[in-house]
Amino acid sequence: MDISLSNSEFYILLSLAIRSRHGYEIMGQVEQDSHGRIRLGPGTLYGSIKRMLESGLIEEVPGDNPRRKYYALTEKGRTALALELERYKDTVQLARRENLLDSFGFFAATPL
Amino acid sequence: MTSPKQSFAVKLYGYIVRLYPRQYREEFGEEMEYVFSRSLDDAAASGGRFATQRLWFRTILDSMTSLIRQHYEYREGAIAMQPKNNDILAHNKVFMYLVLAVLGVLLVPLIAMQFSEDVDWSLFDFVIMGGLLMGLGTAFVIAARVFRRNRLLIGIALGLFLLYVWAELAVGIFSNFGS
Repeated sequence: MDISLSNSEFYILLSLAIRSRHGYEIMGQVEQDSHGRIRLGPGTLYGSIKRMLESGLIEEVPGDNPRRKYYALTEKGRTALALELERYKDTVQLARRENLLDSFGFFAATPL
Repeated sequence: MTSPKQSFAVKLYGYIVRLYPRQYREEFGEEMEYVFSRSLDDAAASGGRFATQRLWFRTILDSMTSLIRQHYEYREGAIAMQPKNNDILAHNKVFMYLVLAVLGVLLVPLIAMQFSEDVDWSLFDFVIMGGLLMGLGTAFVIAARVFRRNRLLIGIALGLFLLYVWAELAVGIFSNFGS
């Protein structure tokens, strides 16, 4: 599987990894997970959701609030997220081997 | 509790949502308005007026880019759509050009501010001018389709109205809105 995820899509999938959420919850979780670097507007949020629904990475599921649309990861979405996290892990390990983290002033507190 | 201003703001955002392709609007429109409404509540609770202005600025930019993208994707046939005959706002690329034109106009004072202290627009000014231009532009598109023979007259009338509102907001002619 070779699915290229944008930054927004990655964080949206990450937010759905634990449980299903509706759009506002996804938006809040993405902002929290990215430490405020990514703030999704409604247009970008639902544009990404639409594309991921079409790609089969997420699906609409019933939720606590019947008035809201909830989304959850599909198996394909879990696999895509796992592959992306693996890629990030490999990249950080490579940077560590090449001592790039210290060179650029990054201090890894927790070894992978 | 939602204030009248916030209710008006959500209603205003609802008009922006109506510019999206119909099928997209039907599937996500209500959710988009809900997300905006909750974001507005958060901004009002945390930072007051300036936080609300920042939210509007981000929302307008977000809407501009996502409007263009969604109209492009639907036009390319990503999803089959069958617009109704009376749905004159849906699936029309002129609104993409309108969004681009408004963005282009707003870039002028934004760039000018980098070089001159005489040009000093606040976030609120950008929001108001962007909304005014989008509103009048949309009004022209709709009115020009209904009254095909009087397009020039409609354009002149709306242009004069824009100039009047701009002057009123800038210096105040008949009111105290001017700065």
